[in-house]
Amino acid sequence: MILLVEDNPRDEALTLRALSTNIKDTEIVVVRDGAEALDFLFGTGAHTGRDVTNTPKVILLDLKLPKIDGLEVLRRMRLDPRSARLPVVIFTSSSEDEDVISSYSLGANSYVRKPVDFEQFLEATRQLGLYWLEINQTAPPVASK
Amino acid sequence: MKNTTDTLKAGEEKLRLIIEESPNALLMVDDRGRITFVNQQAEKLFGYPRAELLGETVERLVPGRFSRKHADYRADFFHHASARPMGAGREVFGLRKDGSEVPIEIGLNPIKTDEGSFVIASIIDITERKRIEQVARESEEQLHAVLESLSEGLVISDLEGQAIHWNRAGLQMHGFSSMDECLVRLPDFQDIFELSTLEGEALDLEQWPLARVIAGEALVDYEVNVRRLDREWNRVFSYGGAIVQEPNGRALAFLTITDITERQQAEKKLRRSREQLAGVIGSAMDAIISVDEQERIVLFNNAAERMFLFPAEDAIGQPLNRFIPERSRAAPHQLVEGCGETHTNERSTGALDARCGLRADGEEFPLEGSTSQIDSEGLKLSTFILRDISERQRAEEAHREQTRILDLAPILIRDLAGRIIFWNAGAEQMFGWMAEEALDKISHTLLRTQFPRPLEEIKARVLAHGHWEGELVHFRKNGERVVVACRWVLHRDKQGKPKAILAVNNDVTEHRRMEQAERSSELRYRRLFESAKDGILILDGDTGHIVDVNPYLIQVLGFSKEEFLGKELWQLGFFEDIDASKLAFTELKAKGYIRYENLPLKTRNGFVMRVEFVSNSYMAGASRVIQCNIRDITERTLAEEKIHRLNEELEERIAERTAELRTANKELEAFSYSVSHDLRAPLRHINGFSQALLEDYEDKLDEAGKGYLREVRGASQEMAQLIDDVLQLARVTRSEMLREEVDLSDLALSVTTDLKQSNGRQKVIVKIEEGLVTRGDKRLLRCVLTNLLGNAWKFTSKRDNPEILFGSEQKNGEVFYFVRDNGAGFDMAYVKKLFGAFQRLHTAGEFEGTGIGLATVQRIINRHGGRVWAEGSVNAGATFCFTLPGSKETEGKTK
Repeated sequence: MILLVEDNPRDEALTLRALSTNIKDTEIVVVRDGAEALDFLFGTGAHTGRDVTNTPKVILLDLKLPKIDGLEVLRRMRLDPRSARLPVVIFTSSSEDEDVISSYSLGANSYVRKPVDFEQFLEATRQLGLYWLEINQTAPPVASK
Repeated sequence: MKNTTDTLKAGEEKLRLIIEESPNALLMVDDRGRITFVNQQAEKLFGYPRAELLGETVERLVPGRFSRKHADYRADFFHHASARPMGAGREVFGLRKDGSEVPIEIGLNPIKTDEGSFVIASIIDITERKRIEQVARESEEQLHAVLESLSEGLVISDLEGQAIHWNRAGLQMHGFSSMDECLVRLPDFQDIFELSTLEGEALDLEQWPLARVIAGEALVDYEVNVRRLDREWNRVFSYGGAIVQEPNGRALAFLTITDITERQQAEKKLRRSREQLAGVIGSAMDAIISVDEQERIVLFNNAAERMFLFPAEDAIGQPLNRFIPERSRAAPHQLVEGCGETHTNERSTGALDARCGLRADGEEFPLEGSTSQIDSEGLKLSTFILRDISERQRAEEAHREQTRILDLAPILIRDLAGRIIFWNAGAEQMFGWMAEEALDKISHTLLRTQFPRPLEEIKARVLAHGHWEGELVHFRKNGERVVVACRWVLHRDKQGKPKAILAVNNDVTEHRRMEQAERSSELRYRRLFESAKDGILILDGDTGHIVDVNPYLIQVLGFSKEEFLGKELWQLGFFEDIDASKLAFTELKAKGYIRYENLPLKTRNGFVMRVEFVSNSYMAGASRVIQCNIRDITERTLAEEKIHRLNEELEERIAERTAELRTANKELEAFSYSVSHDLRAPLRHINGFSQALLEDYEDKLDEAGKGYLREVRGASQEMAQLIDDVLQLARVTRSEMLREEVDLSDLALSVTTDLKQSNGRQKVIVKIEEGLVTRGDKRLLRCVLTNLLGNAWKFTSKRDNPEILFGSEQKNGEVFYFVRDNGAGFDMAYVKKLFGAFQRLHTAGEFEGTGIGLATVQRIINRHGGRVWAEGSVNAGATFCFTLPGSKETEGKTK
């Protein structure tokens, strides 16, 4: 499962298009703000009752998000043992040094700037999918209390 | 019956044994004087076996001289028989067989039996007792003799105070001729003596020595003054005494008396002489200091206190060195040692003459003195007698000075006729004539004297009043004019007749000249004072009263001169703060100088002027003067205030601008951030969806439509690039600079490597000078090189032999770096456009680009404090140059 945290519907559409081009048989869950992302991960709010042991293999996290921004989502994830070891790829328009530094400081696993050119965009998502879904080995899920 | 007899017999036997063993000799004698019984002791006592005595008359045992009487006594005894001792009151002797006599005591007991009357004599040998009594008698006599021969007096009294015995010395000491006079009771002695303490205080009876002994005191060395009431007799006695128990249990008071009158007087004398000595030392004019062998002071008299300004009580125990200047400390030490060896009593020390003393206040002074050494009770004392001769030296010096001065002062004496009879060295020096030349000459002829009034008139005045003073003009031997202040004194002989005139001359030529000079100098200063464009006040330095004021100050302040004079500064009212002025005057007096840069002064009509006030205190001749210079600085102050105000405004404005700028920067930052995010997203969407359209509707679009969509995508990419470049430009301006050492050669190499990789053109020749090291922000300088080398790369792309050179040169002592290429170049006419943002000299068709790169380069170089410029011509390549402060000169080689 891939968790895509993305508020812009166009970006969402393009990302899903790019992912579906390259990745088969993998569920892609989309949440549209930071709060929902956390709800999904911890089984709260609209996602109450979800089996939280079913964790995404990678989370694509935008930085500019309504309600709770991407860096804050990352910070809270890293504080909770259930999500502390989940791979998080920051997937954003920004290439500001400050954003890159903050992301890695908070424990992001990767930082990818969305290319404007769609072919490059496709290539980026292809490589992401290949790496995080097939090459990378994730930490075993934490048993729920 | 038999039993009774046995019992009797046994009793008799017992009795016999008792008698036989009795320690006393026992005899039984019948009424006829015959001895009927003798016991063992009697045999022993008289030396007869009993057989020889039994039946003999008892007179056999009596010495011949008593035997007749004894027979009578015996017969008498039997007539009046009673138990009694024999020979009461007399000494009784027995006669031994060997003819010797033995002293005995005899007890007699009459017995009457059936056989008649008997007497039992119990006899004790008292030889030993007699001997002891004799010894006791003898020792008592000896004791008596000893007491009598004692030089100490002795009085024995019973505890009731009754005198029992006086020895001879005691009698003599107290002026008694016989014991009868003085065997009286203690209170009766009060009729004879009066006792008092050594201090003369009368003693009550209970304080009398004997009374105190009787009271139980053990008396030792109780010194008492004893006076006899009946005659002129006065002694000092020292009493001792105690109660003594006699063997017979009687307690007696013993009083011993020593006459210490002479000792007492000697001591008094000694004390008096000591006091006298102390008085002499204390009142001596010379300092007297004694030191022990360790040179510790043991005596320090009043004069020493005054001389060294050091209290005696503190000086005692101090080392002598304390009072000697450091440089001459070794000397007195040697002096003391030397005396110690010779054991002399007194030794004058001329060597001390040149010595110095050191007062407690640090002053050194010359002293002379002598030292002596005394061995007193095993203690070696050195005594220094010192005299402060600084006064004397001063006096001597003064005297010498006087003599010298006297010789300097030109003195001449002439008789009443005017002939010179005395001419001293001073006169020789003043007038140039030697004594032998001057003597006997008429003085005013010799000296060509010009008198202020006729000589006869002056002479008459001297004769009348005894002296005359005035100024005379003389001429020296060499013709020089000399003005002298002159005092003539009339000299009379013993009869009082005028004899000569003594003239003391004082050269005042120079003085007169000086006075003249002073007058002209005074005038010059006066002019200065009066014409000065500064206010000047002259104050009396002691009273603070104004003694002079210059016209300028009068004019400026508007007070008249009369209003100034005689007043104190603050009385004038132009000093606004009067208390501060008084304080300032005190400060001025203390420091001699005071300065106020900006003092408000009120003029008479109330206008406040700002002045610079400088005040000096100095001595003008013998009097202290305070000069105050007052400069009007109103104009200057106003100008200064204006500048100050302007500066303040400027600072305020700068502060405002800075704040605005800061806000603007912040806004720009926020703006940049949103640009980077929000402008790019739509571009991405345009691009993405265009591509989606191309893919999903490929079959529905003809080639023209597909071409348009490709243009849309290209445009969006271009815009994205533009945005990135603009953002970098902005970032270059606002990002913080981090200056460090940067190797530009390394940086250029790294950038070139990147360019080669991303462009794939391998045939470009790039030459980089080695070792170009400077200081700057590494990230920004990399941006510079990326842009410049990137441009060169780009504009040489159409060359067959593209060549790029990065190096450095020096011009006017300044190092600059350059990137040179052999590319398309540019027209120097447009060189000014080169560094403007969005300015391009080529079409996008010729060379791609946003026109922001060089603008970025310029900003970075400017931020480093350097300059950037370009040279080139169309199709002949371009050179971009820049300087960086902090660059080192290098002898780099091009790679």
